[in-house]
Amino acid sequence: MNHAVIIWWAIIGILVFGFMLRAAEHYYGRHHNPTPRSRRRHRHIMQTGSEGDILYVPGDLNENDAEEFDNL
Amino acid sequence: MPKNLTISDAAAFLADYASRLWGCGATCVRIEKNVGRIAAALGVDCELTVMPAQVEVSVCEPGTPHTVVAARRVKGAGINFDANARLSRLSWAIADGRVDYAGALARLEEIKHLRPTGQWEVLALASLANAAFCRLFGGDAAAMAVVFVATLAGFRLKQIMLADGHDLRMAVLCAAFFSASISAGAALFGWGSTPEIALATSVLYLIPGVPYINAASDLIARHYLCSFSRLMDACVLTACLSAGLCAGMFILGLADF
Repeated sequence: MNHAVIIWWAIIGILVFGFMLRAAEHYYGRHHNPTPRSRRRHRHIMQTGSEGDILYVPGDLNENDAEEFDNL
Repeated sequence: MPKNLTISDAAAFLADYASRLWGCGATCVRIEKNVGRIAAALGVDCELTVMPAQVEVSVCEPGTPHTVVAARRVKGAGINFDANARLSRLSWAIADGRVDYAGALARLEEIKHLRPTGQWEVLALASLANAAFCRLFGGDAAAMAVVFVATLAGFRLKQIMLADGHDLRMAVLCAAFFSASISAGAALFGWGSTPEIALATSVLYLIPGVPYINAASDLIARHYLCSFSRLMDACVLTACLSAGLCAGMFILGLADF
């Protein structure tokens, strides 16, 4: 098997894995969340976000607060 | 002007109508004609300003200095020919007197809440259309099958990424990369006799055709700002598509294909 073929299978594998993950999220959301479809919150197995959302401590400076300190 | 209609109501209605029409992919000429037609039917003078991100309507009752200006941001609802046609029909219905102001408001609300075409239908039809494109460009049956599968996967990925709120440009780049990679299998494994056509046509479904056509239409009608705005959007999407295609070809060693 040459190099390009291995990479091709890897790319296909990533795509198939992504679709399976999405299907699992959809199945989990439908069968474990009794709220109506229109109000169902979609849960992600993997998400991207800022560390500030997870590790916030009251008093931390964020972008929105920066303006308050401009006149000091 | 109808007795139950104020200048403010007319301005608000025309601005809502114009922004909805812009959002579903109409050209500036169509927006101008439709809004002008409705304004004439309502018995008001109307000046319309169409900008890339908003529309502004200045409405005046004939013979009075009283003018109301209403501005609305354009909410991109995706190109929707059904909504476009319905909005145009509404303007004719108002102009022909077949619907009064209250009826026009109700119909506009109905059009705002139109159910979009089912995602699975669009997915299947887009894949078939792209496979047909492959045939048009001289692809054989194997190339058509590869393009069908590549389009199915790429289009579905784009739908998922857009539903999750990702940027359209990133979604187009990723969809182009995976579609090109799947169709590159035709060259790698020797499926069919036209693998290069399969590779080239696998990303055609991502080309923003309507923005290009609308940009040309706006250019001819001398709406240069809107034309340039649409053209830039279309060019950026095309650049993302090309980047995805080139990335796929480069990673799989088909750069000299």
